[in-house]
Formats: sequence, structure tokens, C-alpha cells
Amino acid sequence: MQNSVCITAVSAVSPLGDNLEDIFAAITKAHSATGEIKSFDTTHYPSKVAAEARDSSGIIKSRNDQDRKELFIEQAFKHLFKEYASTMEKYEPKHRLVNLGSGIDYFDLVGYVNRDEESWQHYCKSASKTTQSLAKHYDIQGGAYTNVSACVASTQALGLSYRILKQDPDKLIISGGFDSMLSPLHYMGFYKLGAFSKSDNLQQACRPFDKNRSGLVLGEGAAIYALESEQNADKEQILAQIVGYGSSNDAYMVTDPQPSGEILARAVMEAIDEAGITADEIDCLHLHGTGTYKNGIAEANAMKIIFPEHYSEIPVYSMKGQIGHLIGACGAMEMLGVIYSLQKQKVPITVNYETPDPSVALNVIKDEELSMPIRYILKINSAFGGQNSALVVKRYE
Amino acid sequence: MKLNIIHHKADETIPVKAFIKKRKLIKYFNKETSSSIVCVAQLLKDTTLDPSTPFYYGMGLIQYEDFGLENIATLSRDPHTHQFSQQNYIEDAMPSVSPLSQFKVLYNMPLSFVAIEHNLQGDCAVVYADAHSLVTQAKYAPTEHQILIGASQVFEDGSVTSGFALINKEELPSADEALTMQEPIELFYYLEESNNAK
Repeated sequence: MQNSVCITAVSAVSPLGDNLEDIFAAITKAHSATGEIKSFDTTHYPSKVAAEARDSSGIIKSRNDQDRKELFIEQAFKHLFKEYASTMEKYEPKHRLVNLGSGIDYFDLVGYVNRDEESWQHYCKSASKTTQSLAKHYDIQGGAYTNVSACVASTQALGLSYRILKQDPDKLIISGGFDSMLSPLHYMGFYKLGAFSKSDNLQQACRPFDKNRSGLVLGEGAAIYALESEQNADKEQILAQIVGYGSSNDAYMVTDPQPSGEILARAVMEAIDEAGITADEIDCLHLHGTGTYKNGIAEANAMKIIFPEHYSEIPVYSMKGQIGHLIGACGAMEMLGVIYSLQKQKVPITVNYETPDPSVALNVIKDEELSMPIRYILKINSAFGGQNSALVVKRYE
Repeated sequence: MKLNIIHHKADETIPVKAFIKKRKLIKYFNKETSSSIVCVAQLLKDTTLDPSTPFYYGMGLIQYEDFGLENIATLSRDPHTHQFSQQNYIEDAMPSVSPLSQFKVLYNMPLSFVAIEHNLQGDCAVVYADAHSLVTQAKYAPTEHQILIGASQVFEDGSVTSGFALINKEELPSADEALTMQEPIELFYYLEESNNAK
């Protein structure tokens, strides 16, 4: 018997917009949100590309002393609690939890340099404090968790939320992620790692799985979901079901994924086993697909292990060509792509995928969306440092 | 339950060289990672964990930094206006920053380096500044066997405390007890007290 945990509400602030209608329309149109950074001055920067979060008036602006990721998650919570008030009110405060993935703390470097306050801590904004403050504001008394496992943080947050609800179905968990590395200190810190795309074409800078991929592009935003047990969920409201979760650690190198993909495959097989299905029942893959050379190799090799007979046939999608890499929020934001596929019964185009790479022999969808029956989707994310996570998500029937 | 808690003062050298097989990795370590490596090595002395052992780590709220923030700030300041200069930041400050500094900033590095050192490939997570979430990770771990949990806290004065435990689910505090704690390191003081009371 499958354990079922349902996604019954969603709210997001993303590079593709701040409502589901706009985000889905942008996925359909294969619109890329990457471009030259507008939210802070990059005149002298050696790299200027990112996918910035936007609302109906354009790219969201912020002051130096504002943590952009805090801005986004506050907006996402406001929308969720306004639009889905009846869902939230079904649960007593002690039965509500918030469980979010996030990235490293914001630091207002400009404020610190121009400072009138000596302590650097004064210019630092903690993701954990943001989560706790949201819990207090929205009367969430069951726990306020912040996962900071780099690029798998929000996927792991969703995974833990799934595990909690499987055993404790009377809870409501607001789960997802929020992150932004688009500030002077963090953007340049990431640049120093050498992982950024080397492409001069800003809209085509992130090219997941393409032969000419040259690195990642940072994105930003917040995406949160209301997770409920099937027994408590309003059936009309169910967007998707999480039916399996697995995580693993390469324990290989902190800089590179394990090239064979063996340990990543282990996390996936645990998720598939937990879903009570076989790998053959997975209809399509929503992969991590960062646009770096090594990520493509590792994921392709993992797929060979999991789907030995048809790894080069099963349809593949990566959302990062459109929205960039949201680091601590990437898995949560990319769940929007999963919900899109389940609702529309389509595998979207992986934006900027043009030239197949023989060493990444995957069926990455390009040119036109693929319409097909989709019941089960495998969602994968992997982190700098070696952590892997996998979710199996099912269409609600 | 096996438990180890260690503390190093700000001016003390953390003896990580004596506790790590791949010494070339030390250049990537901040205080938190060094302290975690030592603490786990002492805990697991004469013990080899099954690679599938789940491992969860709780990071303490940041009170201390040693990646060169003050140097970046100084080099980014226009000498005439004493205000932030983007040009100075890009042309003077950033070249002074080692790429290795990023490994001292990313929050999952203690977990990743401990996992590499002890070949821990199982379920894992890093949680931030909340003992309750560390307890919850362990409580819902996909195993009925032992779990490795750990936490470190670097304090404002530069001193560092790490706590690690090899523990069964039934030895964890209840959710209500965990909710009374704040930083993940507090969980290990609690476990030490519980052990001593037995």
C-alpha cells in the first residue's frame, strides 16, 4: 500500500512570475528568465547574469539592507495564507509546522562598509530567524525548521515533511524553500568557485545537458506548498502526491559529484521502493540539470543504473535553463515544473538544450513539449558537497 | 548511546591533523569542520559505521567568521569618501579572497567532510540553529538502527564546541523536550545530562 501525502496549495515568487498562471505560461512558452542583473549595480563585475525574481511590475527591487530571500518568502506566505485560509484554519496551531530549505545568510556588505554599527552580525540576516519569525507571525506552533543542505535543502525539506506526514497524518506542513545569492558578497563568492556559465549570451547562458554547456546561472525566489495527508486533504484541491523520498551522500569529493552516479542512484532507488513501484513505472524525469559539465555526466550515469533498458528513451526535463539555479530553493521551485507535467500531461522543453552530448545520452525534450500520459515523475536534486535527494511524485487520481 | 562533546578555546589549535586520513583536505576546513572531524573521530574510535548509517548535522547560528570579511570590507572602502566602492570591491577586495574561503562559508561542509572521512553514504541532512529540527530528522530517519547526529557552535569569541552521538530513536528527547531547546548543540548537553542521570 502506498503512503500518500498530498500537495494541496502552492505559492511562489520566481523568475517566471509570482503566480501559478504566469509561471505555467512561461514554462509552456519555454521562456528564459536569465539576463543581465538589474537588482543591484554590476558595472565592474566580471559576470552579470542571473535569473531574478519578478512580479507583475517586473524584476523585484530591494534595498541593500533587505535580504531578498526574506522578501520573497514573506510574500509567498502572505499569498498562501490569504488564498488558502480555509486550509490553514483546519489545523490547530500546534499541528502546523513550517519546514523550509534555504541558503547561506544574507550579508549587507555595502551597509557594513559604510557602517555606523561596528558589529558585522548587525548586517547579517539569518534564514533560520526568518523561518521562526514566519512561524510566530502565522501562529505555527508545531516546529519551524530550516534545512541548509546547499542545493538539496528544499528537496530535503519536502522529503522530511513527507516522512512526518506519513507517520503523523493530522498535521499541516508548509514546506518548500527560499533563497537568493543575488547580492554583492554572495554573487562574487559563488563566482570565485568557478562554476558560473562562461557564455556571453545571457539568455542562453544556462544549457542543461547540452554539449556546449559551460556552467550554471544563479536564480532566486521562494516556493512553498501546503502538505496534508490524503485523509485530511480536500480532494478537489490536490495538485499532486508525494509517494517516495530518498537521500544519500556521495562521500566522494566536496567539489564534484561522484562521476559514476552510483550513490545518487541509490537515493533514487530508495524513493522508488518507498513509492511501491518499479523504475519502469516512472514516466519522466525532472532532473537537477545545472548546466555544468560534471553534473550532466553524473546524472546520466545514475540514470543508466536506474533505467538500464531505457535510460536514453525516458523523457527528461530540467527547469534551470529558464530560472537558473536557486541553490537552497531549487528543488522546491522545480516542483512547480513537476506539478505542471502532472496537470498538463506534458514534458516541457529544456530551454537552451540544442546539441546532444554523446556522453549524456538522455532524451532531453527540445523544440516542442512532449504530450504523454504521466502518472509518476522522478524529481532529483544534488548538492555541492555530495548530498543527493530524490522524490517520486504521483498524479492524483 | 555513545556521546562525545569537545570544546576548544579561541586560541587553542584544534588537533585535526591527528584525526584525519586525508590531510590535504584540511585547507578547506573552518573551525566548525575541524572540531566536527575531531569530535567524530574520538566518538568512533575503534568503530566502523555501516556506510548506510543516517547522519544529520545541526549548525549553530553564525556568531563568528574567519574567511576574511574585515579585509574585504577594508579593501572595498573608498579611501577618500570612506564609503563602499564597487570598483574597489571587484578590483581589490575580491582578488584577495581565496576560492577556498567558499568552503568555509557553505553550511553543509562539516557534514560533507565527516561523511567523506567515515564513508557515510546514507540518509543525511543539515539543519540550522534549531535543536528540535535535528531531533525530528533523527526521529523520522528511515532506519531502526543507530543514527549519527552532531552539532557544532562557534561562539562570538572564536571558541568552538562540538557534540556528536551514535544514538537510537528511543534515546532521543520527546518533541516537547526538544522544543524547549534552541541551538542544536544544546541537544548534546541534554543527552549528556540524561546519560549522567542513569
